[in-house]
Amino acid sequence: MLDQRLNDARKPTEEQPGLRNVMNRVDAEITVQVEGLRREFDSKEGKVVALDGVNLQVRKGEIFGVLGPNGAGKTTMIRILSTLLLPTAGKAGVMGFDVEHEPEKIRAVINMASGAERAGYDFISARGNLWFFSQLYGIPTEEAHRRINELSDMLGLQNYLDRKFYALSTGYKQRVTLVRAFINDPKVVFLDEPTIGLDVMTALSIREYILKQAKEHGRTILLATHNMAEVDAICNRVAIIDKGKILACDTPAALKRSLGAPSLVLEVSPIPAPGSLEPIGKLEGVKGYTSSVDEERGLSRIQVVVDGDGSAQSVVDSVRKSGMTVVSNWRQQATLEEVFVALVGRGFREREHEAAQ
Amino acid sequence: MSLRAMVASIRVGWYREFNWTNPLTGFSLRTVGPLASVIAASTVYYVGSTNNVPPSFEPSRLAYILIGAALYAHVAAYSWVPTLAIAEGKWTYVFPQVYISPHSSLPYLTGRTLASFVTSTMTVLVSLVLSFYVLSSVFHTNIPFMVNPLSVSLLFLAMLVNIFAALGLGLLLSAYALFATKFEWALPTYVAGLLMVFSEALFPVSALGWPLSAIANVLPFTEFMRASRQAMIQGGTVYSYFSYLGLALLGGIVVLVMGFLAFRYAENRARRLGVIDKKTA
Repeated sequence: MLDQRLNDARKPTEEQPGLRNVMNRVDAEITVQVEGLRREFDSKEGKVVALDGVNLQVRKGEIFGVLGPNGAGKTTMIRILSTLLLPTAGKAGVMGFDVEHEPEKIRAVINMASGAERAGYDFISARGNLWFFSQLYGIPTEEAHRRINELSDMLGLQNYLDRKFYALSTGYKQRVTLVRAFINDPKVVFLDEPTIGLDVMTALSIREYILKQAKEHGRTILLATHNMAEVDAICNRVAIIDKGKILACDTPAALKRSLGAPSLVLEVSPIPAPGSLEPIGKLEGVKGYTSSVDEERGLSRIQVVVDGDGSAQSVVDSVRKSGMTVVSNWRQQATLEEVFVALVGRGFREREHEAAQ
Repeated sequence: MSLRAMVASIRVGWYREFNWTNPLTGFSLRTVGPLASVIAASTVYYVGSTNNVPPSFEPSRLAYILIGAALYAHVAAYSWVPTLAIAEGKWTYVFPQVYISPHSSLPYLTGRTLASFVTSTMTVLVSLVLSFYVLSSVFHTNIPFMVNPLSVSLLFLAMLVNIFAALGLGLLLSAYALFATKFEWALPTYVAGLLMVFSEALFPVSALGWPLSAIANVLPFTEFMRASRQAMIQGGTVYSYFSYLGLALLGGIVVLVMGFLAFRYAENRARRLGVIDKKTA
């Protein structure tokens, strides 16, 4: 039911040619602009480059996804755009204001929420916390309560507003965080992993809320996430980021279409040893692969991005030659993860593993 | 906009100062600390001086210590609130949210400080009155206090004037807390210890010897202590009171301006380092 509502909410931006044309117009209003953005951090090992010459343009009313594995630079970008952090080089602007020189003007038109950080005083009620944050924006108390009620209604939070913040579950704390992110009627909202760690139903209702905010109020939303389903469900456009660089930027559908052939999925047994799948990546016509382990079934699932049927067959042959049994295999329409695999040669998990090492 | 932010911060600060409990419980708990330090300092003096040979106990000295200990506890209680608000705010992520709302950091810190000033003033006045009666009856001595509407008003005026210096000190400390990853929780305690020595809380700064006494003499907190004693202890004069108060005000404004500039510099530096939203040890 909720899924259906999400799909319905997305329809105009995907299917109405008129709106698509508006979104694609060169002169469409740019609300977030990033040019050659670079950010370095000092660490014990030397300089770490979190963002490396990023260029982006986000248009008014757009839900723009920034998709990448942990450590790709998504949060750094949001911290810069929300004026918490200064860039090392390059330019970033929101609503035409420069993040470095005009932070106060930006602060008046933005807000930000992070799934990992749920801001609030534990011993004050959810309503009290929201009222406090509304006052930072100079909203009269009566108007503040009207907005709190309206936004809480949309997220099913109304019955929990008088509970102390600490007594709320993770999901409800996150709803409070999302009400706070829109309390000042912002023109641009930065959301960093807003559904991380939440159950499916809560995540769906939050996505629906985000869609409504963009569609009905014309807000621009920049959504940093590593959740591909989320990007697929609600983003008009998405930039794929890895190691601080934007690798591709387009609509999710266009990115998937760009892969051409459907990808190959293999379930193999026994679970391959580390490094034993590397020959797959070297086969002709293979753009990249990612694998995961199904402990319960004692097998490994390998997703391979291939350029055609011939290369798919050579992957199957290669796996068999290496002593593994192909339990099942099929072709499937490409997902955003496979777009990432095609661009990087590795999946999110492998990238995060490499980063951790 | 900023005024609303400050008023909301006073309200939040009020709950925080009472440890999120009901005001009566919070007030009672908050009074124990200053009351204990005032009675302890006064008792140490009483026991020490009466056991001297010959005894050197002076009731006016007891009054001096009583006022100094109580007001020292007052200043120490609220001047470190901005530091606490930042260190704690990084943990709860409230401070980064305050920071990214327009023109809110200073009103927020000021509001939190004012809430603490109000609660601390109430608890210190209560502990001053209670310790006066306790010590008078236990030591059977007549402490030479002047307690009348004028003296209490003058004391309150001195406390109000001291807000400038205390807020300035708070901003200086919080400038460090903005980009610090070590010691920001403990720093106010260290500074409070120095303040006890340098602010004439328990003994005249002339006892420190030059150049320490010269440093202590220009601190607005020292002038605040002197003005308060002129207001509350018999023998004080209105002329001396206003002279000290004027110096406390002047010094307070200087410290506040220094604190403001340091805070602005630290904000920019913290933003460059990327530590405004960084949780610390």
